[in-house]
Formats: sequence, structure tokens, C-alpha cells
Amino acid sequence: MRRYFRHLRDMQLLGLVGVTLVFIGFFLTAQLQQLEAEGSGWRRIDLELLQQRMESGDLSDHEAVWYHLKTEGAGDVRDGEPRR
Amino acid sequence: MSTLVCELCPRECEIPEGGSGDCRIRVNLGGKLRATTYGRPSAIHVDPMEKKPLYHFLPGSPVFSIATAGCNLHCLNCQNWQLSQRGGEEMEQIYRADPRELVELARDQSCESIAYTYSDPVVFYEYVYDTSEIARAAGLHNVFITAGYINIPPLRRLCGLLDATNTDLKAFDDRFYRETNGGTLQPVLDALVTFREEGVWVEVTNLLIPTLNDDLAMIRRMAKWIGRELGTGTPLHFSRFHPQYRMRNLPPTPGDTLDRARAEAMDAGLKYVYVGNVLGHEGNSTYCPVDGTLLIERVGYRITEYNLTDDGRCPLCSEQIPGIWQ
Repeated sequence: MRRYFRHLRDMQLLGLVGVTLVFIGFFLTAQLQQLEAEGSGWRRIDLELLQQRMESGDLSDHEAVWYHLKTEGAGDVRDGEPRR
Repeated sequence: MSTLVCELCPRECEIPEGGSGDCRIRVNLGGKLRATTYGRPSAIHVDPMEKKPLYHFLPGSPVFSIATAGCNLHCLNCQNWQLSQRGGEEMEQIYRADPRELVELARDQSCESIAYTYSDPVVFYEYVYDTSEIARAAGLHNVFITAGYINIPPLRRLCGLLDATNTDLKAFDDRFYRETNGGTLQPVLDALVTFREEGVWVEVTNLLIPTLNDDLAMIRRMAKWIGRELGTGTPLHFSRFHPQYRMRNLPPTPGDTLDRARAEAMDAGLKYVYVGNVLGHEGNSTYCPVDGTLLIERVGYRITEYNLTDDGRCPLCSEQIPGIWQ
């Protein structure tokens, strides 16, 4: 009987360690994904919220200057002038 | 799916559709880059010019100061992180003011200048540019308070509309920039030289963080560089660090560290070296570099004594003090 309870406690402990490791894994994966996005120079944003706030007029859809379309294979096109 | 490349700052973010640049506010929507905070400032205040800090530019005048959300640096010690480290969609407080309304507001508040400040105005470039054009035509001055992390072609284009800048040179060390600010040093140095070449009045701020960027040899190298590239008359402000945001593990900058930094920079040849964020420090005031006469006494952001002549000279020896005084 005593041996059974000890075994049960061991299993509970193992379960707890397992759940903790899963949580740590999820946390690290999320952080790494975030770092990956930041390192490549762009961010994921809450697009739905952004569009809601643009529709309500809180934010603007004014077109930026100083950007260009990334073209595959042909290299980036630059003329040093802003474009609207 | 069209990916856009933002050319504004040295990050040159490649932004897929529906994503934003690293600054959080330049967003690729439908294959066009949108400046989402254009005309939507989240901070509007009237400050004294000394708060920017600009000590040799229209001293004592009120300056209409604005900022939107977003920033292209991510300083661990950011003072305005609630504003700078968030996207527009995350802000509770957003005002609506197109460039023309902003200039009218500035004039209503009897301000001679508009400052683009608090976060980094680089990221709301289009708003700065359009407002500056209208402000210039209305006889107002434009002041750009920045970390200077911007590519040279857009900066050169903007410089024609700017009157003064205080640029934050965070350390004279690329590693510090990478580890503490998420940027690099060289683009900031290039921006400072560009401001000078384009005739914008330049003052420099260096926030001293204990153990991270308070090495006297590095401060000397920085001061020498400023003297050589920008001129020995360029005001340099050493500012006191206070623990905040993600850097709460370090103490505020000790007073003697600021004193030693000031002495080192002056010994390296700079004529106007100030100490900021320390109330009543003698390094808040301007002295004649020739005879030591007290020219402008400041307590905090207040001017308590003003002895410069109308044309910006020492009243005793007539030394011309560099700056824009009227």
C-alpha cells in the first residue's frame, strides 16, 4: 500500500515536471518567433484592430514615402527619391 | 503577396503584406506602405526650449511639441516607452490634427517653433515633412529631437526644412548600440555630419548610464569626434540616467560621474558642455569660453539670468557665442 502511494506521488511529480516543460517550451517558441520577426526587420501586428481604428479615423491610411516593392530576382529598384 | 522595402532608416525592413516595419507604425496594406500615425499624434505639449534640450537656440521660448506612437530603436532605458514601444493601434490617446491644424495650434499657443520629439520623429517622417513645410511658410521654426537613426537621402531632403536638432548620441560604441538600443553607431554619426553639412543647428545629448557608457576614455573619443566633425562650438549635454523600463537594475548616474565627463569633454576641446537632469548644477548654465563670464544662468528649465548681447556675444569680451539667439 505504502509502495503504491509512493509510486503515485512519483507519477504526480513527473506529471508536474512534464507540464512545466511543455509551458517552458511554448514560451520559448513564442519568444523565438517574435525574435525571428524582429530580426528580419518587420513585426506581426493586430491587423484587425489596426483596420478597426483606421475605419474609425483614429489612425490614418496616408501613403508613406521612401519605400519600394521588393522584386524577386531582379534586385531592389532604388532611385533615391521618395514615391507616393 | 507583395513585400515592401522601407528605405527610411538603416533597418530597411522588408515588410510582408499585413506586417509593419520594426517601428510598428509603417504598415504594408494592399502592397502600399501606410504611415498609420500621419496626422494622429499621441502627445501634444508646450515645453520650454530648454527641455529638448536646446540651450543655444531661441533660449526661453515656448515650443509646441508633438509625437506619435512608434520608434525604430528599442532602448532598454527608454523614458517614453509607453509611447515609443507601441503601435498606433495600441494607443489609448490619439489626437487628430493634420499638418495645417497643427501649425494653427502652435500659433494659437504663441509658439515660435514646433518640435518633433518624445518618441523618434524619424518614424513619422511624412507628418514631420508636411508640417514643417507649412510651419516654415508660416514663419515658425522646426526642431527635430531624434536619435538620428535614419538613412541619409530622406534626412537630406528633410534638412532643408529644419532649423535645429538635438540628436541623442547614446554612446561612442557600436556594441553599446547593438546591446542597449537595438541599433548601430555609424548611421547616427553620419546623420550628425549631414545635419551640420545642411546648415541645421546641432546640439548633442549623451545620457550617461553607470558602468555601460561612462568610460572616460570613450567620452574623450566622442568629444574629440564632435569637435573635429561638428565643431568645438557644438553644445554637448550630459544627461543623468534614471532607472526605468527594462533597465531598473542600475542606479541613477552619480553626480561626480557627470562632473568628470563634463571636465573630460571640455579638456578634449569642446567649449559648451552641459549637465542635464540635475537641478541647480553649475553645468546647466552657459559661460563665455574666453573669460568665464556667466552668460545664461539656468535652474532646471528656467532662465534666471541672461547676459548675452542681442547679437549673441559675451558682454565683457565680445566673444561670439555660436547659436541662434533671436
